[in-house]
Amino acid sequence: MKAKVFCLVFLFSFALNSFLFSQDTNGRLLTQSELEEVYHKALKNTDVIAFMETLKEQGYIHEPENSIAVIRNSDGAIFINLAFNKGNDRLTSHIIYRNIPDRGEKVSFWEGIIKEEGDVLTLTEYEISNGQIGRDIELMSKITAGHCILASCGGVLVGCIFSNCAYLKCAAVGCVGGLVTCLLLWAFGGF
Amino acid sequence: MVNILSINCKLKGTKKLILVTLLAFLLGILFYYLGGIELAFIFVLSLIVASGISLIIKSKKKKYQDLY
Repeated sequence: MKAKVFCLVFLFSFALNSFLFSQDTNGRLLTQSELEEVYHKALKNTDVIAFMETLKEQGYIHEPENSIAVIRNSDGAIFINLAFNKGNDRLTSHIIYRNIPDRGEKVSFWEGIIKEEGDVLTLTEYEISNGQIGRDIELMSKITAGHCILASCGGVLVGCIFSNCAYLKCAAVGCVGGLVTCLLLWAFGGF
Repeated sequence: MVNILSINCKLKGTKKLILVTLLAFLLGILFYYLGGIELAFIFVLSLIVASGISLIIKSKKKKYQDLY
């Protein structure tokens, strides 16, 4: 009985930890040389130039010294927060430039918050709508539909061990369910 | 496959639970290294759903056997 409780608690905590970790985006600050290299690249991006022009027209001044950049641990994606300030209105408008390996560059106009907790940095992006913080932006995932099918089917194959002597039926139904869910997620832009 | 299925039929109770937990842990780590925490999360989620469905099937089967 004790072993059963232990196993159930273990599985539950594993799932809970996975979920909680998936909510955070951990990374580290770029070193000065890394920052300079990526910064120059970002400033050459046509979308960044267009955004900078718009902000400058609105009276914002670019402050490179306040800019901050992080590199995400999970996939090596680089996020640069290009700081623009207007008078006393400090650090209110930023351009987020992302460079994600295999996915290329993406530029957006977001409010970006980079929290530092010990050695861990977390980056949270919020959409700005009419000057207010809107919905939380989910950062791009690097997993594909194939990864999703593989992981869900793997989970089903292990989970079906409980079904006494009906393993194949359970696995087949579960894998088809996982396949459909993953394809739906992929079709609706889940990843 | 036949051998795996016969092991599945023979294993019962705590032994089965320990086997599932160990497999889940090892595969969870493997998926984490393959595709990060999101992939590990998908794996664990489908494992829990499949386990739940399996247990429901098992209990229904037992009820049916008890009736006859």
